Parts: sequence; C-alpha cells; structure tokens
Amino acid sequence: MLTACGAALVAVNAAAPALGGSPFDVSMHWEASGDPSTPINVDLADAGIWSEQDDGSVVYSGNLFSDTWQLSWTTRIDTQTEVLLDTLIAVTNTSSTEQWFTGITMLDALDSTADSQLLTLASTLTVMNLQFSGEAELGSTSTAPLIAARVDGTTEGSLFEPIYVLTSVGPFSVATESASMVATVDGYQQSLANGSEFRLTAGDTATLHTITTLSSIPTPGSLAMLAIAGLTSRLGRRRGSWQTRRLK
Amino acid sequence: MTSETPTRLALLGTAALLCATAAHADLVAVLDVTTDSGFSQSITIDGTDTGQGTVAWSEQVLNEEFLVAITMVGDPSGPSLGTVVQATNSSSGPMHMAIDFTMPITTMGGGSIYWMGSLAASLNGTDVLLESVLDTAVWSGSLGDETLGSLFDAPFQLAVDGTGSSNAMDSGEGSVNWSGGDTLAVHFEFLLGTGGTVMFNGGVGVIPAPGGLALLGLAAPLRRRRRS
Repeated sequence: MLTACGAALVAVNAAAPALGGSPFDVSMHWEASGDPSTPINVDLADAGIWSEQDDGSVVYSGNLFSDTWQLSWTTRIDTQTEVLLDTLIAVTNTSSTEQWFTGITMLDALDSTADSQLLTLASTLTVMNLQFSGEAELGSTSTAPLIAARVDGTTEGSLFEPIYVLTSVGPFSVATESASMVATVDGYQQSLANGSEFRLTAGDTATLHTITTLSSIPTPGSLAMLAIAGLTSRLGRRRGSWQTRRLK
Repeated sequence: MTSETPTRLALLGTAALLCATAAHADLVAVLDVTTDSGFSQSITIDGTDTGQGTVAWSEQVLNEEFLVAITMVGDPSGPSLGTVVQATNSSSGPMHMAIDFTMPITTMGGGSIYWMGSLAASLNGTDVLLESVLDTAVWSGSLGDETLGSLFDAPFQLAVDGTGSSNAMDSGEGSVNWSGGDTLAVHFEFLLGTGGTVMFNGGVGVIPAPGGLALLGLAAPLRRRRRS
C-alpha cells in the first residue's frame, strides 16, 4: 500500500510549479509490486535537491519511502564532451515479503547531432543481508535483463541477463558484481534512460549503480591521431619517470 | 548554481510535513560530514519506522564540490545497522572526507559483546584513487564510547586506471567488553580523488557474547560452504 507520504509527494509534485533553473529534463519512473499506488513518476529537480558541480556536471539527489519500500537516488548528468547519465539507486524492501521493483531514470530533450554514436553501459550491483541469519537475494525477472539502457525508448544495451541472481549469505554479508558493454546506436538521439527491473528479498537492501554514456564514434583519421597522442604521452611518461629515477 | 537553498528548504519542509506520521522523534540519528575544503555540518535525521522492527534514515548533502548521500537501515533493539554511503568529489583536487552516522539503540547494559560486520567499496571514475588517511581505517564502528573494530585498515588503496570501476570487500568480527550505552555509530574517513565516486555498502551487528559465539558456530559452515 502506498503511504500517505508517497501519495502526497506525487500529488504535490503534480500541483507545484516547476522549480526553474534545472539545466536538464530528468525524471524517474518507480514501481513496486507490493504497492498498488505505484507506478509513480517524479521530476528529479522537483523531488529532491540538485546542484551544478565545479566539474560542470549536474547532480540530483533525494529519497522517497512508503510502508513497503525505501528508495534513495543520486543521478549525475554531464553533456560537456559526451552524454553521461550516472544513476545510483538504493532500495530497501521494508515489507515482509519479496517484492519486484522497476526504476527508470530518463534524460529527455537531448540535443544530439550525431547520426551514429557509441553507447557504453556499466553497472555495479550490491545486495546486503541485514540480519544475523539467512541470506539476501537480488535477482532479475524471468524474462528481462536486470539493467537496460534505452535510447529514444528502444533498449540498446543490457546487463545481467535473465535469470540472474546475486546472493549474499551470512550475517551482515555483502555481495557485489560489476558488468559492462558497448554498442553502436544509429539515428538521432533525443532521450537516454537507465532502467532496472529486479526482485529483492524482504528486509534487505540493494544498490544499483548504472553509468550510461553516448559518445561520438571517432573517425578513422581521429583514431589514428588518438593512437599517436597515446604513444607520445606514454613515451613522455616513461621519459619523466626515467628522469625521476636518475634524480634519485 | 545550486537548488540548495530554496529547493532544499521547500522540499525538506514538504517532506517533513508529508512524512510526519511516519517519522519518530525518538528515532533521531545524527549525520556529521566534514571535508578538508572547510565544510562541516551536523544534521539530525528523523527515522522512519519500517514496521518490521527496523528504522530507515536517508539524507543528502550536496554542494558545488561534493556529494554525500546516505541511506541507513537500523535495528535499535538488535542492534544492527545497514549502511549505503555514496560520496562524489567534483572539485579540482583530492578531497579528505569524514562521515559519521550515529543511531540510537535500546539502552544496553555493559558486558561482553560480539560484533560482525562487512563492507564493500565500489569506486568509479577516470584515473581515480581512494585511499585511507594516515593510520586511520576507512571504516570503524563503535557502540557507545567503545570502538568495535575497523575495516579497510590503513594503508588502504583502491584505484581505477582509465575509465571504469573497481571493487573491494572486507569483513570483520570480534568480541569487546564495554560499559553500556545507547548509540551505535559508524565512521568513514578517506581521501577521494577528483572526479571519483565511491559507494560503500555494508552492515554491522552486535549481540551479547554467548549468543555471538553460537552464531559464529552457525555462520562458519555457511562461509565454508560458500567458499567451496
């Protein structure tokens, strides 16, 4: 059951005027199987706090909770050299039964000009058993991957294919696993999303850290330039360390 | 630019109002965040009773230079605490950060107690380094005024070469004689390279020593089975 807190928060978000100034249009879709009042959709700029960072990225952070789940998020966006969508969600299943959760963070209104881009998807999953006994389990659904990257609504990359299970066994134990992949995406990109669909055992906490980037595919000429630059830099570093050794 | 002042105040006010029925004033925890850039803040956080015997706390500290986001789930009667701590350094140089979280527990008398804990660290970024500071462990736990133990003892280093992530894990257990108290606290302290994000996931629990020894006996075969 959705708590008064969760329901009211959604209502307030719908009624409140947009808090101007957020440089990006970023939202989150959240659904919990044990909470019929979900799914909910929140604008991250309105639902939490956000700040432009000294490195030029923008970070959004906040939390929501109900009777049966607790969710906190941190999303970092950077479009200076490539499109970066870095999302971390921490979820606690506070119900007495296993639940399914779906969380999708979407960056909209992208201004991509490239016809073909490189999609990089990397993710780290962690599950914690917060009891002196038993075990905690984070798993995929039987049909969908646990982590997916969507470009313009189409799944272009995925990790932790079904049926995937991560288990932490023993008192206060933690289990973690990372994976990554690269794919080519064609067409004009207007939205980028990180999605996760997973089940989590009762009373346990999971964190899902997903980093998705869209970057231009280097032309053969620029690849050669990069190779030369890499070689030069390595030679320079070697020379530097040799000089350091000599000075010693 | 930051939403800190207007947005944060408005949302904190809204959240406090909306969640007033769920928050319990007697389950107030304290978060302290200090950095070597001159930032220092102590925040009291109302806990949310999950109804399953545990209390949840969540808070974010965000400015132009760094982010600290915590989610804690604790059992005051256990007592035990599950921690999710994320820190990001967006400044132009390495940052020394100290994060303390103190939760209330049901008052316990003194005696011999047994603790178990584990912690996973996940570092993300480009050519970034996470390291311990001087001889201070990255994580330490305490019950009342008594230190339980530490994880990721100094000298500790976790590095990412190029762009990507790097993970490390540590666990510990032990018995401690203490004089009683009503708080369980965890302390994180580290140096985080520029552009780096570190996430700590872990748990710590405490029980009277005889029960702890029995649990240790139960846990050992489980660990052995897992290793094999």
